Amino acid sequence: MGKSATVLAIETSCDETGVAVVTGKKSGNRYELTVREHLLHSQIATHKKTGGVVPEVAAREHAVQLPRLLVALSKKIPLAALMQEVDAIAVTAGPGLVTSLLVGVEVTKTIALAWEKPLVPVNHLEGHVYASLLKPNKGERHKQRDFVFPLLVLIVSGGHTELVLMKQHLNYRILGTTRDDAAGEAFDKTAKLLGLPYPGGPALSTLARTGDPTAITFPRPMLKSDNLEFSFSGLKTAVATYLKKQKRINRRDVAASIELAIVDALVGKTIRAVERYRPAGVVIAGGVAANRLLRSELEKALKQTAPKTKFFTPLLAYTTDNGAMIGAAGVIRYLNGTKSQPATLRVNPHLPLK
Amino acid sequence: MKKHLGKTNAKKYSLRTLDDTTALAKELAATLRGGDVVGLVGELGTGKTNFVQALAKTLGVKQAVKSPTFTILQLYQTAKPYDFSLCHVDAYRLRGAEDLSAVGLADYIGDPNTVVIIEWADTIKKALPKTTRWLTFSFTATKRTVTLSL
Repeated sequence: MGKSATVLAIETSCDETGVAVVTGKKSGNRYELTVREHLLHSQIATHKKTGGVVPEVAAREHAVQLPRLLVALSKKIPLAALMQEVDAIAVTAGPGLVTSLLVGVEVTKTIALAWEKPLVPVNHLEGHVYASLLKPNKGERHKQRDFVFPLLVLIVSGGHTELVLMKQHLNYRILGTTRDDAAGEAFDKTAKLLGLPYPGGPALSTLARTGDPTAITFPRPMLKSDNLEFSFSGLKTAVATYLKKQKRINRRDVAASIELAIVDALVGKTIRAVERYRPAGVVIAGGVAANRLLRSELEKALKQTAPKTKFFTPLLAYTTDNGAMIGAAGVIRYLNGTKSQPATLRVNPHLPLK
Repeated sequence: MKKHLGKTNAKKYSLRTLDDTTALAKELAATLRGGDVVGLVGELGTGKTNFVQALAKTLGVKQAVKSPTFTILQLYQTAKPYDFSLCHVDAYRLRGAEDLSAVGLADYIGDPNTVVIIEWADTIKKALPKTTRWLTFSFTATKRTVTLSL
């Protein structure tokens, strides 16, 4: 007999406000997750004007949007029914921008007190990992399986680049991180050098589609070094220097060459970790997991070096920050006994994954 | 007592190798006292974070120093004989001085136990003390230049 639980989940760590209701079933050590509702408000349009996330603006937007999303949720599931059904309330406790995190955590505490339900603090990165276990909506075809362990995780986003080894659910060992810029930051900043609008990453990838990725050989720092660390600041300098030196610039070729340099570094180190730790599965997580080239190159490299390794990717809808992924990690945490009380839960902008 | 000599002489350095960066970091480290603010200015990819990494190493910081663009502010413990914390800030995503309190930076600027070093400091120049020391990074296709106003 399995156990099951339902959580209301709230995410406000950066520039997306997310609310979701997620149900999880546990049988043995396996989980099946269902997203009941999933509402999201992105602040990208707001931040386009300033060219990036501004903490003060982001926090104020969360304070406006979160109640709106909760009201919208109550129109889908009446509050009385929701309160009956929900076993706990999951919330992102970090890492992220402190003022943004506070909005979500304080609202969550209020709901938890009013409903007399426990809180489940979730690490934002853990949410990204578990996004890959979320099933598509009704009518969509996507085979969904539970993770296999040991599981190698590549987390790539605007603020993070980490290789993590999971021996079992909710167990993390950091194998390597970036020494300077995150992969998503490398995309955004080189895109800015090319004069692309915020957020630069996706714009750069679009431009890259019609360019020649072999036109310019940008450095792939640390790719040859025998460790699992990344470095992307040298790429930024190389691109800036190239743009200064060249008289005629083909922006498509530059974009395609930048994208391939970043993807090569990510795939190279992931494959090195696969050779070293022989995981049963590999999962990519975070905003950069939406990058098509990264997905296809990693899948290709895995087929060549370790064809039996299972490859997990999140549905595109769940690669950006969202509430459903916090619900996914939250419900699994709840089913494993993680609980916190409103009086003691604190946000931690630098919360480590452990 | 800390003395501000009010000198406005600027020194120019050419950084060709990592050793050059380390030498400049050592020179600056020798003059740092708690309460100091150092402002770094320069385009993307000119070596600001790289310089903070070299400075942190000189100050005995054990943690790896990374780009603080995402977190905006990161505090590091230095080792003896340095008796201050190093607060590494990235103002890249801030609009201006009014955002300082939102990230908690106001608590560290001028704190006698902290040296604050700020990338993209020109964005929040208005909120920084007059005694702020400025390092301006620039580069051509062949070399990197840092101008230090003490």
